[in-house]
Amino acid sequence: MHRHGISKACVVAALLALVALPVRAASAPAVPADARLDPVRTQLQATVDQAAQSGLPAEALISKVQEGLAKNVAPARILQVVSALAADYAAARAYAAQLSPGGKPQAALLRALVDAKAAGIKWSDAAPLLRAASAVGAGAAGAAVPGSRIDGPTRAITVLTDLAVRGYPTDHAVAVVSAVLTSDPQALPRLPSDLERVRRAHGLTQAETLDALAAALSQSAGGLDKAVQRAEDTGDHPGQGPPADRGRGPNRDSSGNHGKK
Amino acid sequence: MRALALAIVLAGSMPAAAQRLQLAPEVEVGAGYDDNLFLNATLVGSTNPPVADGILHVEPRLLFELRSRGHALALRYDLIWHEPLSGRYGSVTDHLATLEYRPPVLATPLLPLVLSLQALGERYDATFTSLAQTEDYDAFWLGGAELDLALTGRSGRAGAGYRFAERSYPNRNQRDQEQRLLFYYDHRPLPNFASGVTYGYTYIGSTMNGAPDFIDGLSRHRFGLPLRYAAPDFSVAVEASLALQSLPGFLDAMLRPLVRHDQLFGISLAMRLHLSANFDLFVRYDLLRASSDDPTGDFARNQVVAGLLAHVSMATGSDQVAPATAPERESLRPQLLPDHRVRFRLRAPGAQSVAVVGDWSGWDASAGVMTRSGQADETFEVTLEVPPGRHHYSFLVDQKPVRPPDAESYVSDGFDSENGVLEVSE
Repeated sequence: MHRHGISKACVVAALLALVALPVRAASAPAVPADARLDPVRTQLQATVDQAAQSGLPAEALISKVQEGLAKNVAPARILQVVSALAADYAAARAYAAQLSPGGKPQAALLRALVDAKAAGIKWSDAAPLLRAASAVGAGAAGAAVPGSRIDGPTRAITVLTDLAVRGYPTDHAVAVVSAVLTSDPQALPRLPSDLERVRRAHGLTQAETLDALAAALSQSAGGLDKAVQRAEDTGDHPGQGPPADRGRGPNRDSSGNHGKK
Repeated sequence: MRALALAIVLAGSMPAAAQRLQLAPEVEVGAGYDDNLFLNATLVGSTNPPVADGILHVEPRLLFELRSRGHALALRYDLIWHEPLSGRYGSVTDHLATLEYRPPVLATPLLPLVLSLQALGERYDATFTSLAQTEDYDAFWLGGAELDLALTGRSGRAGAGYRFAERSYPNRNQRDQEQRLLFYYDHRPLPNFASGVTYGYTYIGSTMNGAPDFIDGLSRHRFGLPLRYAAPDFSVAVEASLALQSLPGFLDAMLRPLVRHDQLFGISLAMRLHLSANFDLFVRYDLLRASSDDPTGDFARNQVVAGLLAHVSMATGSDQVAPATAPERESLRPQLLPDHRVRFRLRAPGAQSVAVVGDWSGWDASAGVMTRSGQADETFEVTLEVPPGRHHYSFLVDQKPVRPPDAESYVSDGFDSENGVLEVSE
């Protein structure tokens, strides 16, 4: 009787495995049937399958393969990039899960984190931003842009990435993006272009622009527009013009009439 | 003031002019102490002690700025007035007016370049009262011009400036010609924190009664180390400086000038506390200590001033600043059309085939084939349905990938290039 029970369980498990296997294979997208990929097809498909089994967005890996083919990239290089991308997605998911316990990070957020890493941003630097986005609440931040499908944390990371690509130092930018996310989330997508306008108008460095806007944000009620206006109005733009030693007055470094008798 | 504000509003309301006008008056009022009020070796002499007194500090400033298409014209006026509180001495007033022109930021192969040209005029008066006689002992007019240029990076800027100015001392028929070269580097390694280094070389030549002064020619090397922390509600700036200068001093028995050498060490400290939208508290301290091989060149000064800064700013209009890149590229940014389709354009001289590829179409070139905008036109275009969301895209010109020249933003593609980023809302 007991022996009969075990063999029955084995049969059920085998049947389940047979059923599950095709389902899993179907859920993992197939690598494009392009002959150029033949030398690396097996490894590529294995990478994609493993990502799909782990719940990572395997479509993004397939998209990267398609992009590599479109750009005539060597197959070995495609495999290398896709493998690295899969590792990045896995790391991004582990990182995002830490910051939102119990929550399953959305694929868009993972993609944003991967893009951020590619732009040279350390995720640990962006942690305050993700916490701020979580504190704002998915509702408010998610509705940041009418008609947009991008939620608050993802938006915050994409804006930070955008700023990094434009040369804005991440440590300066995190504070400003967090402040805008908290005070005026709908304005967040405009932040890079507003910063660029202020920077160009006043001939500032990216770091100076962020500091000027950070100061204006803390002193202005009324969101980003008012803060940008205040940043533009502030005559005290750091770094504008040569610093100190304007040579004013009676040649002060030389005691009166510079030593004439 | 009311008329000026009205003028600003009227000028700013002109629809055709993309310009911005700003008027920003402010005033510092405070009190302090100066232990070497007149800083004049001749006046005080080696036998008399320096004049020390409490001081009333008043410094009104005014900025009037016009910006249009990236050009900026700024008129600034600044008066420093120090009145000794005991009433036993004279006063110091220093009027400075500058007119600065700054063209749009220039794109260079290296870094964006900021140029500025400045004309300046100054009137300085220091009166000294002794035995009921008031002497305007150090009055001068100054006129000059300065050219500055700076390369601006991500978090640092390096600049250089040249200034020529002429001082005229009506009381002693003396004229100084001053030339100055300044080099500086300013860096912001952390949010709100800036550090830098400056070097300036100054040469002053003089004429007395229209003839070259035979004890002529001051040359000075000045090194400065400024540090600044400016949080939204509080800022502090410190600068340490060292100046080494040589100038003719004594005359020897044959009435030939002997060159004297001075070393001047300075520390300046400025703090500002933000009280409200229009009021700040400020404190400044300056130390200057000089030593010389000429006894009259040895002196020290400590000055501290604290008070209230009131400021206001009125502005109207908006300046549409062109990017510091080739302006024609602006028009090649993907356009989101009212029917939610996206129009892609690319200038590709001599190209046979051009396509836009992106993640919305599986990077399929055949789905984004672009055609020439017109006969003999080097611009290719296509209008596509792109689903809502954030997308990565690139161009293929004769099957070779080309980075989108003016995307809204970029991300690394992992293949040693970058994709453009396109966001399509629903």
